[in-house]
Amino acid sequence: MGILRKLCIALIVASIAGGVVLAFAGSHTLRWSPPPFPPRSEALPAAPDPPDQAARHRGRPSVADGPGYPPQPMGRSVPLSLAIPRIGVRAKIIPLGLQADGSPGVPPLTTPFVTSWYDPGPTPGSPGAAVIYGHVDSAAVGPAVFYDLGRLRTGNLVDVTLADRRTAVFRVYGAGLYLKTDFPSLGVYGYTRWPTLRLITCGGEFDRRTGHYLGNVVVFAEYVGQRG
Amino acid sequence: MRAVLRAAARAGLTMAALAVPALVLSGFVLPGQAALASSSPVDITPNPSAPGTSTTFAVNCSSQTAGGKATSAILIGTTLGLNEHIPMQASTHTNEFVATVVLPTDIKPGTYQPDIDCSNGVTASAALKVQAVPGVAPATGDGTTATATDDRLTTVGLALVGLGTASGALFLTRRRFRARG
Repeated sequence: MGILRKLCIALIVASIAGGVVLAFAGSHTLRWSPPPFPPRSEALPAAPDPPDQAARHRGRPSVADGPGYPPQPMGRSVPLSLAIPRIGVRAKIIPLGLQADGSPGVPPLTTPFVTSWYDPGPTPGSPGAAVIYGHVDSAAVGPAVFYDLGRLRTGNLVDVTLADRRTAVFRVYGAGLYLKTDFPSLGVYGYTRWPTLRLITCGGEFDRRTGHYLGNVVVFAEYVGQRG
Repeated sequence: MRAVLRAAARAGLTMAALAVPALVLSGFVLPGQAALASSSPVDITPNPSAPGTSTTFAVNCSSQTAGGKATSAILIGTTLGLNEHIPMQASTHTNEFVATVVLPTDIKPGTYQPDIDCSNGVTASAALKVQAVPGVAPATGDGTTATATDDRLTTVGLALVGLGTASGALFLTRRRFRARG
């Protein structure tokens, strides 16, 4: 048997064995890493004082407060788009209400980079809690618009551009992962005297049996002023 | 804002007061009070409100028809699923009474018209809108990133197996062919 023949046999055996190993590894490794999420929580983060009261507590406004201090809440205007520089999100917002099953409407999974605003509630920048949803993932693309939502930390900024072309600016003051079976609806949707924003996606463990994540990531932000 | 509302309410009251005497003379006292109620000297914050949210009712019991100063006022909480008689506290403003209630967590979304009875006979009412709050958490993902396996790797692996098998088969047939020939 010539050396060339031996080499051929070796190559064939190696490619079959290597292929089996690769196929096996492929079916046992996740293509993407599971989405990040904040620690599981039961309580809501404490809302900070409205800016005018914060200034009163400090005794005097600081230089950082700028000339437009304290900011005034905005009037009702429907949100059109969203930007979160910290995690590179720029997304369109569509208004959606309640569905028949009692859950809020979310954009179809076929448009995984669109977010939705809960339109029975207040608009971002006006008093109350405005709520925006986005998908964490979708079979169409893998990681979706709010895949990195769980990375947001206190101090990160969120811009929401409204139909009147002004932009409401929010600052994150907390984040948590809440079990869907124990979702703090009243704390998330309940009225806040100062304008607040809640960004919501899915997170935590994924239940293959039901096809749903077991929890929701909720990011809490407060209104800090407007641009434009 | 409040001052504006109050002024508007007062203007409404004055107009109602002009219309009321005729009704009172002809014996229609209750419709007269309904006319007062529609002028809405009630301030509700927040409005719209949400289930489980603290909601404040402030009423101005002033009226030029029904006798003078009120000493107390009661919010009728039945329609909201609360106590029937909720006593209101006198505020710093004359004839103004305030009550803060927590809306039941199971209150249905919609518009409510709870009545307020002042001790001087004035009945007032205002529309409270209760916003719908989702009872079910949103479904915002299909689990792709938590479950999808690396099919690129699998594809390459299967291709290699196929290639190996095919070349193996070719190799064997060629050898057999050569052995026969």
